[in-house]
Amino acid sequence: MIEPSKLTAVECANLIQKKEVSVTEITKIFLERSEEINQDINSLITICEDSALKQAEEIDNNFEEHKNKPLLGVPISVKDVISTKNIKTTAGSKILSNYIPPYDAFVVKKLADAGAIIISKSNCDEFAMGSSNETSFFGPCLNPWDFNTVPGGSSGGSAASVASSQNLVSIGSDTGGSIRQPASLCGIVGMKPTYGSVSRSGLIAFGSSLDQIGPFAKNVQDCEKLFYSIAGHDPKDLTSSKNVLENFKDLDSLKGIKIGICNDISDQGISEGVKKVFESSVDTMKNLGAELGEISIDYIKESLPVYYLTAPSEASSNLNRYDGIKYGYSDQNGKTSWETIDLTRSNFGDEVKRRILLGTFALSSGYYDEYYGKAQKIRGLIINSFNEAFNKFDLIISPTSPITAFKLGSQMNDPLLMYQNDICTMPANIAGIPAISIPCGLSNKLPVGLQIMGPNFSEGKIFSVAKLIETNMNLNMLDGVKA
Amino acid sequence: MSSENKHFDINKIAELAKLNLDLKEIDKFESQMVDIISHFSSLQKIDTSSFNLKNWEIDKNKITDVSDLRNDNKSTGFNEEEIFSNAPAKESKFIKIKKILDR
Repeated sequence: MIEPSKLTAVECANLIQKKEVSVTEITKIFLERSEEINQDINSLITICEDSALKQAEEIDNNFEEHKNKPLLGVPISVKDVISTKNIKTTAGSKILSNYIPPYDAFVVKKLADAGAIIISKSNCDEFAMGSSNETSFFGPCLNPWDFNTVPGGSSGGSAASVASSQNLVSIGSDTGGSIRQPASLCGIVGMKPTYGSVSRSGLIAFGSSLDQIGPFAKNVQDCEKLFYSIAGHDPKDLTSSKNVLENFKDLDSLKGIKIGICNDISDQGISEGVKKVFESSVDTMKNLGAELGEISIDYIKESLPVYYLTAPSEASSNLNRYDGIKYGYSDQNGKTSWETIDLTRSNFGDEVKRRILLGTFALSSGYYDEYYGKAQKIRGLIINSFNEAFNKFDLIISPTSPITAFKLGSQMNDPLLMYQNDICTMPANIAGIPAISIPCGLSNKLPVGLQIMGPNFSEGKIFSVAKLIETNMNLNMLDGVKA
Repeated sequence: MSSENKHFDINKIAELAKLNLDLKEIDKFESQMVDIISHFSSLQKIDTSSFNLKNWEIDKNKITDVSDLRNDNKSTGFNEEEIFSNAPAKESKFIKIKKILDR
């Protein structure tokens, strides 16, 4: 008897490899569960029953050919900003609510190569712009821990679907914290890989110099497995790296590992409850033999303005393509093409309009140097400061989110307050470095995440350290999930 | 509106952004944008004269090498059906649009 909430991706692939269960059986179990739980929490935009069952059957019928694949038969949801051939890909927006991509994103092809079964497309903030999943055209997703709270965002549906075991793993995108913050708020593991380690081709672009696709899972081992399945060079993404990523040895202690606590983002602005849980994870690392010290990153406190000038500027350019002419939603009520463009673009949601306006302003003649240009220079200084910090420390830690899951609607009318949710996560996007969020305890019965950042391409070391911390904390985290 | 942001002209920006805002939206977004932009003025106080912006993405970050382009070889692209599958309106081999000149 398969119990979805107790199963991990690695266990699932093992059971299938040993022929204890077929891929079709597993797929049906999770499709059924998705249908049921999605009615409560709205974590999925599309459930891909037909394509999932067809893929499952193909693997079952040609088992010998597929049996050694790392994610054999593992049910996965994919954030709805990632293109799936012949499956609607909406970006959580009205503008793309009818869009069916004629091609698969690079990571979607990699998932198929690894034997994973895409069973759903997950809910997200419109064009991945938001920290609560509330800007989605398809309605908010609810946090499976407490239906009155948000799951975080923008990849809220991905995190909520894994936490509620509608699928065992998920793929999201992270521009300023959009994987790590929802992972933290839903009590699961999420990673933003090094910029360039996972191809962005087929990802609906938001902030191209910051966007990165990455994995969600219930534990670090599954997250690692999924990461190595989607990483790799892609000639269709100019920023895709040719570096060969290497596994790091498994650790039995943290002796010799130097970990810096970034007080700039671990102290001020962090709620007392989160701080307390974070400190207990620091104690765990100390007990494991890590050398801990404080580190300050120059200008890291300016991450919020740097981010909110850079990302909207890139977004205003990227979203200029939605004009109702070639694809996507189109309002044809006007007399001229100019009216088509105007009428169509008025269907962006408020947050998207806000960011397009902000970006257009930051790039406009007369203000470019003062805003966008200045932000890029400070971005450079932040990168330099991180590089120096990693000469002294192997890894840098902080809480993932300053607060636990917040009430639905509580921040929607205050954009600046909403933007503060990503103060701990934005620096990694600005610097391009990898960062993971792992659960480290509860505050008021809601999950708190620990963020571990490392230098470029140090994913292997981050996973090894995270696995050891996870084992020693022994939290049985998802026991508190209601859905 | 604070004095430092008196230059923020919502109507001009909306036109550049191809966003046709109604009066209610103009009011709302204008006050929010002014708040946000004022919040960002802290950046202006930072001395960035020591930083050379040129090529920082490539040299300082060492993630990607944009000079390493793929070979310019012929490859199979989308077929006609795929290209037109999402077009809002089409006629034979063309995407159909409304008139451009309003006369």
